[in-house]
Amino acid sequence: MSEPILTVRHATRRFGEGGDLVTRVLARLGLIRPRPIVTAVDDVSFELERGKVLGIVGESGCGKSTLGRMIAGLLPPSAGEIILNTGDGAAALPMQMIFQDPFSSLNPRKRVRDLVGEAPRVHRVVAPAELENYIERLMQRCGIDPSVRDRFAHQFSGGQRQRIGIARALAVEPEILVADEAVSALDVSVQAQIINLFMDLRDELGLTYVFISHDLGVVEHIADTILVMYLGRVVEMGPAEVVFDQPLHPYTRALIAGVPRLDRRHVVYAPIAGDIPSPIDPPPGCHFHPRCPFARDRCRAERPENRKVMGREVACHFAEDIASQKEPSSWPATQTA
Amino acid sequence: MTAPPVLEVKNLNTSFLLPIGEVRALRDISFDVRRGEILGLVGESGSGKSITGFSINGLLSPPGQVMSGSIRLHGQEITGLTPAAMRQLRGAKIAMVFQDPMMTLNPVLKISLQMGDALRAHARLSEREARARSIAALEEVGIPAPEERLDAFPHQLSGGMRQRVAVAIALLHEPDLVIMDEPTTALDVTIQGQILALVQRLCRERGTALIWITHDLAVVAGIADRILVMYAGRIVEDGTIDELLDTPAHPYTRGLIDSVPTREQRGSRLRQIPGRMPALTDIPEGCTFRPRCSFATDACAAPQEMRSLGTRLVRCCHPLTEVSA
Ligand SMILES: Nc1ncnc2c1ncn2[C@@H]1O[C@H](COP(=O)(O)OP(=O)(O)OP(=O)(O)O)[C@@H](O)[C@H]1O
Ligand SMILES: Nc1ncnc2c1ncn2[C@@H]1O[C@H](COP(=O)(O)OP(=O)(O)OP(=O)(O)O)[C@@H](O)[C@H]1O
Ligand SMILES: [Mg+2]
Ligand SMILES: [Mg+2]
Repeated sequence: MSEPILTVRHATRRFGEGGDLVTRVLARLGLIRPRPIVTAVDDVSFELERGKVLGIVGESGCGKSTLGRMIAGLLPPSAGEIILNTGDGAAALPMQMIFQDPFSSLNPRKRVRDLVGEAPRVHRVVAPAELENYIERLMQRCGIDPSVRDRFAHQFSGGQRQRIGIARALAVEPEILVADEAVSALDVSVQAQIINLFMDLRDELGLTYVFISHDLGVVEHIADTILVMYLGRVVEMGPAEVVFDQPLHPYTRALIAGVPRLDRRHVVYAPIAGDIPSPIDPPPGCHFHPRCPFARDRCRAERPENRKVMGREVACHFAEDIASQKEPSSWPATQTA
Repeated sequence: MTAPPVLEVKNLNTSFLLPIGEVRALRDISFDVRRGEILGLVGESGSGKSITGFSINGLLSPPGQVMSGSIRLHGQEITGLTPAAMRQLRGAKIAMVFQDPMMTLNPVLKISLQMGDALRAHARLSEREARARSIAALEEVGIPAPEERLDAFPHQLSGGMRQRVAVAIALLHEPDLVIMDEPTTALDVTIQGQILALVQRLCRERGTALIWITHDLAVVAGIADRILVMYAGRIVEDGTIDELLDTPAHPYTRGLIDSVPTREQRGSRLRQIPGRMPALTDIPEGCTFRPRCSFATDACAAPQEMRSLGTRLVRCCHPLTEVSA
């Protein structure tokens, strides 16, 4: 049982490498600007057990979708490996991905019935005679009125398309699902319905999830393990309740402290203090140091390794030291009330 | 002294005329936005938030059309304007950040070219000036290394970066009215804070009127002055942030607020409103929320008018504020 369904070892993905020979030679000679190389995912390792939910959070552009696409087998890693250990081949398509962008991931000229029903028909997930019922039940569970099954994808709102994408991914009864911002366009009530559905499928079928989201409230609710990324690297990873109850990495702390809440009204927001580091030319040492209120000389020079500290892994030289310290009040990590 | 509101929408009805029947996307929408005001627009997925933005912007295409109603910008009617006149307004006076950033961005053109075109559509600028202004605009929305990113194609950016580029383009000409449709769904809270700070500054300092469409009630709680709640093509409640969030009057508003996950419920089932929004082709008479409402009575079968309760408006014959008071 404890055999992981997914093992990721030192997965790394770079973009912008290579190019044709002429461009590379010209760039080497300094005659044209070299294409910038982005290390979107930098040496990420973890294991995920069957039936568990891994929540991935992190800064916009830190490599979450890239990591998700590598896990889903849609993008080869530049280095490292990703091992999928799905069951005895019961599922025709054991891995499914729900894409971040519901607009471009659904063919606008296809009807909902085909978007949802095509793969289960081709892969014989259900008998042809039952297909119609199957589609209807899935649509219902995902909160889409089955009476619209003959409409085209472009005739739906953002959140409706997102649910069509979810129904499509679930239709082939996968064993592991990579959900990239899969509920981000849903109002809270419909979102609750989908999250409840995800949890039911985990309990009923042992479905495993890699759940990428910027919505910490949702991630905290459903994730067993949480992985926090910053500029391609894992900065903190551990059991969700441990990380949420006492985040140690300064970036995780900023994330959790900044979560908007219903009772925080009339907030005056402040721009980010410090420079926002770029993945094209990441700062040396700890990638977060230009924005970190606790940064010291060592952080500017030496890359922090992932270490076990207080029940989780964290990549911060001073995790223990700052655990009990508050951010200086002059540092508006995210906002000021 | 009393200048007209920046935007006045009155009795707006928008439909999609499909072969199978009329999809009534918007019914009788009325609201104003004043200078410097931030209006949050929330509601059920599919309730008509984006279509409200499209109608104002004149971007509906057949079979979608504004059936009736009035939309005024600075007191001037814009529903009958020619496409050319509308194009003049768009980008300069009204701007929209689409829920799908690829509605703004052309996938086959570099960001630099797209921003340059957007800039030169309403201003005379040299190549170099355009580039400098583009870099500054990207910096403001928190895109690091903006010079390199200018030379990227949209697919080389992350989802949240594309969103931020779309925000930057919308704000290039400091329009009087900005409609932002789910502009921060792919941003972490720290970068989201950067965008919120930027739009807040525009609204407070330049008097920009802002409509912020979102499903995230907590973000609206932080920045909006007023909220509109939509359900099945109608506005069901319209009030100030504090009254609407603290004492919701419409049962749908209350259901939404109750569905926000709280830390105490970790791992348990989330609360949701039972049932589903009706298809907009056959909308029941009376209150559209009635089949899902635990407070429904026989009176709810009658057509529901907007009622005013002090400073707010609610489309419900038994508002919760009266029941509990
Ligand atoms: N081209 C179209 N043809 C027919 N119906 C349409 C079309 N475009 C939108 N609709 C319908 O109009 C309604 C309103 O859509 P709109 O996109 O405004 O919803 P929304 O409130 O923005 O939802 P979301 O939060 O999911 O983005 C939806 O129920 C949708 O199905
Ligand atoms: N095809 C590509 N070519 C070049 N660079 C790319 C490509 N795809 C992604 N990148 C770069 O890789 C980095 C990570 O992108 P990714 O989409 O994985 O981020 P993300 O964490 O999903 O962000 P978001 O939360 O904004 O969706 C970004 O700097 C992005 O510009
Ligand atoms: Mg992404
Ligand atoms: Mg929408």
